[in-house]
Amino acid sequence: MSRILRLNMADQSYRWQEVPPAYAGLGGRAFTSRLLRDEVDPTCHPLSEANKLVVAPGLLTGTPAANTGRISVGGKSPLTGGIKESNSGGLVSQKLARLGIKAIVVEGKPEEADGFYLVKISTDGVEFFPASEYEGIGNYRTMAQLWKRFGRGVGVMSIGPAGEKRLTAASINFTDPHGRPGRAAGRGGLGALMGSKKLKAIVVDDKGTAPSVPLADPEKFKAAARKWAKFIIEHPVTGQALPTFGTAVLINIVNEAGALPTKNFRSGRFEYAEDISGEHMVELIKARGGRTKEGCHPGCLIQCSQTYHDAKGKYLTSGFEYETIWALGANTLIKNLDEIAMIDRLCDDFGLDTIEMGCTLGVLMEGGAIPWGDGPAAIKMVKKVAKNDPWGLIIGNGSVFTGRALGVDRVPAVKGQGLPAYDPRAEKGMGLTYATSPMGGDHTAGYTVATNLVKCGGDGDPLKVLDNPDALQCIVDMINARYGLSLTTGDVGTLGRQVLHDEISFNQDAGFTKAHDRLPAFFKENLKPHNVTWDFTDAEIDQVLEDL
Amino acid sequence: MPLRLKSMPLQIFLNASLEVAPGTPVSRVIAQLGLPIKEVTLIMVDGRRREADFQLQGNERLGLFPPIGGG
Ligand code: SF4
Repeated sequence: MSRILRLNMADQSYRWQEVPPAYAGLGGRAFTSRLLRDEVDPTCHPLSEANKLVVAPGLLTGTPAANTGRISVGGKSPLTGGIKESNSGGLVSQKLARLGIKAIVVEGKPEEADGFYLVKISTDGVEFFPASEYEGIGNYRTMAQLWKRFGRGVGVMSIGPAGEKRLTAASINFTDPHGRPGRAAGRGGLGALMGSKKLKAIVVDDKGTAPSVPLADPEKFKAAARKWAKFIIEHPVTGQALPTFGTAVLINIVNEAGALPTKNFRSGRFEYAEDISGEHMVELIKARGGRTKEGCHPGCLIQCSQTYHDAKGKYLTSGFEYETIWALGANTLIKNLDEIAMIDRLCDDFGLDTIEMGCTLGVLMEGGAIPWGDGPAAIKMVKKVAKNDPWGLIIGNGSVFTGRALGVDRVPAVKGQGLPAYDPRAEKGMGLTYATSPMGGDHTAGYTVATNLVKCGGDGDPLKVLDNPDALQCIVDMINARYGLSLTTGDVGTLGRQVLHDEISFNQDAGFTKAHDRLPAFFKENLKPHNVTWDFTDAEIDQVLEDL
Repeated sequence: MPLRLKSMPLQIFLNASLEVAPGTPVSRVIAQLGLPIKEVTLIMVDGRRREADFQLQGNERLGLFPPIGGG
């Protein structure tokens, strides 16, 4: 049976807890949000000892099923002040599951004078180490050194200088199969929460564990997992487009649809979209000897990640995503993909959310601190985050903070979190997601782009996964065969609603009201090329969550 | 009628103008270009999603896309 691992940072102790029955059927975000609802005072200061950092693999993680190795990280967000779940790929999730760990809950907080700590989890148990030698060091070097010390291939989740300084745009980064920090739980400043716990890194070594977690009905599981793999391989998006171009395949299409936010959300098309497109990225990668497709963890059939080299053929960055390229590119008018890749690399190294940084750079340009489209100036600014420089402290705290520092009123954020890569006026479904998601400006909670723009996931039919009415059933079959349950697809829908209830009620108790479910006023402006505005009434927006 | 064409099926970029008679359905343009119609899963005319039987009047911006997606 899997267990919950509680790390108490106040005295560097730990304890194992049996999974309470109410949590048995929860994984990933459902788990992190429920635990926060049950155990964290919504009014607490996010950096205080009352807050908790929760790390949970998914319900199917650790099984042989394809693409089940992502991880959820939760806490009260230092950026939004509301509940937060941020999701990442990388090596840690599967290893935790194989070690029989349902979740890690990081609690308490050491004395401020204490240095940082490092926690290692393996079949030998749990150990705390002082981590002073890694303090102030970026994620690239930290992970490389930890691989050297604990063995190649161990899973690492760590923070960089941004998280150590508890800056609210700080991410938590996860090792990919090459030991690089290209994967991140970026959103919501959870790196600052980890920094407040004085936890530099968690190392997870699954040596000596079985290759799969136990399965209640191995035969049934195998049959469903085989079907699942077939769905992924045969669907044109997951079988062709994502492996070929990565998620950046979306740049051209969202631009064509007139929904690619350009120059701090001033227009819906970027003149140089092709220069930063997934197609162009792939050309460069091929010419320079990078890799156009790779998985962020073993068992990924889609392989949307990549290795991007600079003009000299030297490694520059990996996991170069659509959202990142948009935020640091079209949004800032930087059109040189190498400059964008450099900022992405710095973000991974310092532990910064790339979407938040893109919005922040846009606000910096809006305020005249650096010129529009000036890549080298943007790189110089981001580098200040790792130095002792007040500018670094300002931008490391994200778009809203930077807007305040510069007296800028055009700040694309909801509930304090910078908006992702779809203009809400031209892609209105995403606008409703930005407005109403308990996460703040977030693109993952109601990803209407797939249905509205790309016709993937059914033409607005939420009950189809991968355009296939059987795919959701297939996922439920796998869960049932893994745990010996008999859930229906209806139960899964109910679970989803429960998660939202946990999150929304947490936010309400934290002081959020309907007035926070609104987009910034400047979205009433006309957006070219479609000449559209954000024209939902407040009552219409409130309807989104009414029948929950 | 000039027609600005912007298309990238099968990984080729094509930014060109094409003359079509008013009323020409998008499907005919796709056929003229020699693109396999089944590979073109997304058609945009002036940034709006349209079906293959949508009739072009000229001076439109046409985008033809293979299956794509991401996040
Ligand atoms: S590489 Fe991409 S498709 Fe594969 S698991 Fe990671 S995020 Fe998902």
